[in-house]
Parts: sequence; structure tokens; C-alpha cells
Amino acid sequence: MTCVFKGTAAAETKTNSTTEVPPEFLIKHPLQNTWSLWFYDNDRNKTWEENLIELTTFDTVEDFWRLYHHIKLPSELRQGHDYAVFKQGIRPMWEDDANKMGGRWLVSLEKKQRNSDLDRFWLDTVLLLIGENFENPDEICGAVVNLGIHGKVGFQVHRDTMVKHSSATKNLYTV
Amino acid sequence: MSASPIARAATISQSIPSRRVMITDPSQMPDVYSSTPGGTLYSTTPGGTRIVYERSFMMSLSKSPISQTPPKCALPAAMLKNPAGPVTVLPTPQKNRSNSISFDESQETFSMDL
Repeated sequence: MTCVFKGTAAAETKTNSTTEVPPEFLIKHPLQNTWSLWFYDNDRNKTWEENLIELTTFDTVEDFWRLYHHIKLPSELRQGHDYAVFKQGIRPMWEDDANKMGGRWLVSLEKKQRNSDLDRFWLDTVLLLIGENFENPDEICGAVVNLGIHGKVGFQVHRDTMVKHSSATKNLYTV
Repeated sequence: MSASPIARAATISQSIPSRRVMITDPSQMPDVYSSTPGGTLYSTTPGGTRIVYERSFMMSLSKSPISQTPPKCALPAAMLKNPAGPVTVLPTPQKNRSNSISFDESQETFSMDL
């Protein structure tokens, strides 16, 4: 918060115009949860589970943006590559205890929407996750964006659950 | 019951958590006026406090200088925006940084009469 006193208003204004950094930009904003960023590599010499890499975790809004600004948008990823953002300690797979009994919401996009909607949907979903804006945030484990092999762009929001490419379970929940 | 589960959950009354903090010495008082002994007045809400951020506020923080710095962790080349020079190449700086903040709490500057 900036307080400008009348007597020193001129001096204050001068300092403000040279620094120009709002107070929110000086600190990191903590998140309710610590989140893991996962990447699915799609290396044919590896198993599905070996391809799934937990890259890093973040627990502030700024640390999320640091990652976001430096990695490709989902629409720029190669086919078969995935991003996942899950609460730390929950693996992005059905086999994880937190996901076993869960389900998922799935948004499937047409290929033509890849450029127009995919990146926006993904960012909005992740912001909903980390900003704790879902109605029952404790029930939410994470989200995955994946570029399907059949030219379709899949986009998943998971409620207490996760998707696995080759998993048969996946199809049970697809709307 | 006619109300939805969500509506019912919302109307269940809960007592506001309270606690008593004994002060025996002036040195135990917080040194800022905005705080109360044992934490801020608003530090607890029924059901606990959750850190919630609006989308617009988080979007405004994406322009913060801290948010522009490269991540500490090593990332696979397939993920990086520019595999040729991931460390040196930074995203183009945002124009009109100070004007583009949609969350304008900071702009509520007040003047005080002496």
C-alpha cells in the first residue's frame, strides 16, 4: 500500500514514476496446495509409466507462471505428448489411490479448435485448479491435456481421478 | 428434501471458531496495528481458511517480474518454447505493465490530511 502525504506528494510521485512496481509484484503469492507438473514423453522404447515424468513442483502463483512462460503451449506440443498438473503426491494415473475410485470430466476438441480454444481451456482449467475455484476443491486431484493420436485434441479435467492413454478405464468415463 | 446437496451444505450453520489469547506483557503485543494478538482478526473462518485466487488476479500476476524469470528446474527440450536458446531467450516484455493490471487494489492510493 502506498501512502502519499500531502506535504511530500511531489517527491512521492517522482519516486513512484521511476520504480513503477506495484506491491503485488514484489512478493510471491502462496497457493493452497503444492502442485506437480508432469510431462508425458511418448518414447516408444519406454513403458507408459517410464514416459511419465514428474518435472517439478510449484506452490506460488509466480512459480506457476515461471513455468508457463517457458514451456510450450499445449497446441505447440508434438502429438502424443501430454502435460498434467496434479496435487503433489498424486500420480496422474488411475492406479494412484487418490484416483482409483474417482471419475473424470473430459472435454474433447476438434482439431480445428487446437489453435483457437485448446490453450485457453487448458490455462483456465489450471488457474481454476491452483486458485482453488472448483466447488469441491478437495475432490479435485488434477488435470491433463493430451494431443490424441487420431488428430483429436483431448482435454481432461479430473475429479478424484486420472486418465491413462492405453487404459481401458479411460473409455468408461468418456462422455 | 427439496434443496440440492450444495444448497443444504451452504445453509448448515457453524459456530465461528474463537480462541482466547492471554497477554501478560506489552512485548507480546503485535508491532503492527493491523494485527491482533495471536494472529489477524480474520485469520480463521468457519471450516478453515483456504487460499483462493480469482482468475483475473492470477492473470495480472503473470506480468510480474518474478513470473518472467526462468524456472529453476531442468526441463526436457521437447517442452521448451525455444529449444535453441531456452535460457537466454525471455518472453517479450509486456507493454504498459502498470496500466494492464486488472487487479487495482494497489491503485487505491489515499491521501491523508495532516
